[in-house]
Amino acid sequence: MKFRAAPEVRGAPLLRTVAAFGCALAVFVAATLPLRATANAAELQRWNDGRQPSFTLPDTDGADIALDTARGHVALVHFFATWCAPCRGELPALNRLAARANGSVKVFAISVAEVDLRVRRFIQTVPVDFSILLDRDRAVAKAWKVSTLPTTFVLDTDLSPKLLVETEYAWDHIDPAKLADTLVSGARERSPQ
Amino acid sequence: MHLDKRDFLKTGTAFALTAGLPLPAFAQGTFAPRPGIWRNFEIVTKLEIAEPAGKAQAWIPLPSVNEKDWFKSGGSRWATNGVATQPRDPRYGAEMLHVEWTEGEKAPWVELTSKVSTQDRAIDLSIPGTSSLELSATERTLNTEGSDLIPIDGIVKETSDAIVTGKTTEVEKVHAIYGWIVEKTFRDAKVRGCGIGDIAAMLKTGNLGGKCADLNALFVGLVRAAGIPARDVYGIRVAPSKFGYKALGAGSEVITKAQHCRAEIFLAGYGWVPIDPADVRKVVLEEPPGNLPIDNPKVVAARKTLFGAWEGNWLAYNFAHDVALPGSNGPKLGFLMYPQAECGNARLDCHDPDTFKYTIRSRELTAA
Repeated sequence: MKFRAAPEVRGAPLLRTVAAFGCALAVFVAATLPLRATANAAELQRWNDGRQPSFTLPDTDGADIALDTARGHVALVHFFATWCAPCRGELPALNRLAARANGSVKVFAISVAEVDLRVRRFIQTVPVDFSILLDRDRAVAKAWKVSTLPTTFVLDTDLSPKLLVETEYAWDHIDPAKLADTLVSGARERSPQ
Repeated sequence: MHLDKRDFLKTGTAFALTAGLPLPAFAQGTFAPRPGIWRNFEIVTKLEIAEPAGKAQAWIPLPSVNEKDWFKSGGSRWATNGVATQPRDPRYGAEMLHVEWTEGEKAPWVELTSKVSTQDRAIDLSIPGTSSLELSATERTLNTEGSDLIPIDGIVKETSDAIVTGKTTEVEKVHAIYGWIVEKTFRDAKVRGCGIGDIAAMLKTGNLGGKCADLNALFVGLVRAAGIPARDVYGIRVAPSKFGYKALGAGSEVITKAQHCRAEIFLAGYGWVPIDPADVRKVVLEEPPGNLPIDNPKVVAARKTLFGAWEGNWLAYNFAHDVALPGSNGPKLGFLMYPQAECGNARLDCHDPDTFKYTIRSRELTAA
């Protein structure tokens, strides 16, 4: 990965030049937004790791919840943190997806490396109908090779991970029935913007 | 009214003396910590647990560093309505006050008073070093291996190798990594997503913004990946900077949120050398008026000075990583720099004042 230098390193004159172009660029971007949004849309990518990791984690009430309880259903395993700004908007969207799925999709939201009380307070403000699990020492996140939050895996009915997305995703546009078909057909599922 | 420069400086001096403040040294354009004068501080931590549910316990870091040239931990005393012990992390020697309260205690509290002595450090890496200090094999291993939050393989090793390409001496390699941290670690709003907390995740996501513990952990990891011993030093600021840097000192006697992590590297001929790239970034971001350009004189001075020197206005708690809290069933801490507490099996949020209230105050003592 190539890392950019901090803005202040690049110098004020450059910033002034960029600002001057900014106005004209904004018009161009607005005019081509639908095409550009499609080109940059988040995608559910095929997960080719080949492993089939699992977990049993405590929920916020202290009960141990196993991934295996979702066998026979499509499952979404969503890694997040309450302090991560891109994560916060996804939980309600995942809740709506689970409601549309009417039981055919099971969602597990896993808080990574947070104290219990912070997570409990957070979900009081963002109530959801699925389990919020606590990966206190990052062991499960590491076992699933998660580096970025949010990251979501989509598992087939045998609980084999098939798709993942390593950024926030527009779950409101997902048809649960079509998602299940996608796991079978192998087609990429784009997030419309 | 017209003021020429001499009048302005005189006016500034008069104001400073009237206010009882030292003349900001930076007005003279210098940021030059110099060892030679020990300063003594008393630090008082008061901790209370509101609404305890179940058995409550707390852990407070104690000053555990003793380095003859710059820091002496002078001992601690405490008062509490619980039972206190003073366990020590076996690997890094980090000491902590562990207090346990009986279940049903309605108002758990503890007050801890610690004394320390500290002075400035300054090592000139442009002249050959004369130190005969060597690390034992155990010490070298401890300070070149990875930890839970500081892996040194994979992308960390790749990044380190790329930064030090073409550098031959250890000083050159560390200086290259230091410059890389200073110039690359910023919060890029275009980068979505957050890392899961270790330095590899920072590099993989490209999200290189963070606090001192994140940035200096990244520095330490990259240096260790280059095979050079390095360590974080976890502590807290105890006094203002006498060089006029608002961002590099405690703003008042209340230092509850003044925790700060520094770093050291070990070089043959020099011993442990103070380095603090995170504080250079802090000057960029927070030194008034904020968001200073990298060529601002205060940033330039900080960047030059904080490679080999730092000011003795800071208390060093410990060098510890992956700290297990005795008596807790919870996970290890990546580092011990803040008080910690649990009620039942639930670890409290050390940043939530509603449930876990503590204050830390600093007072400089006159020489005995």
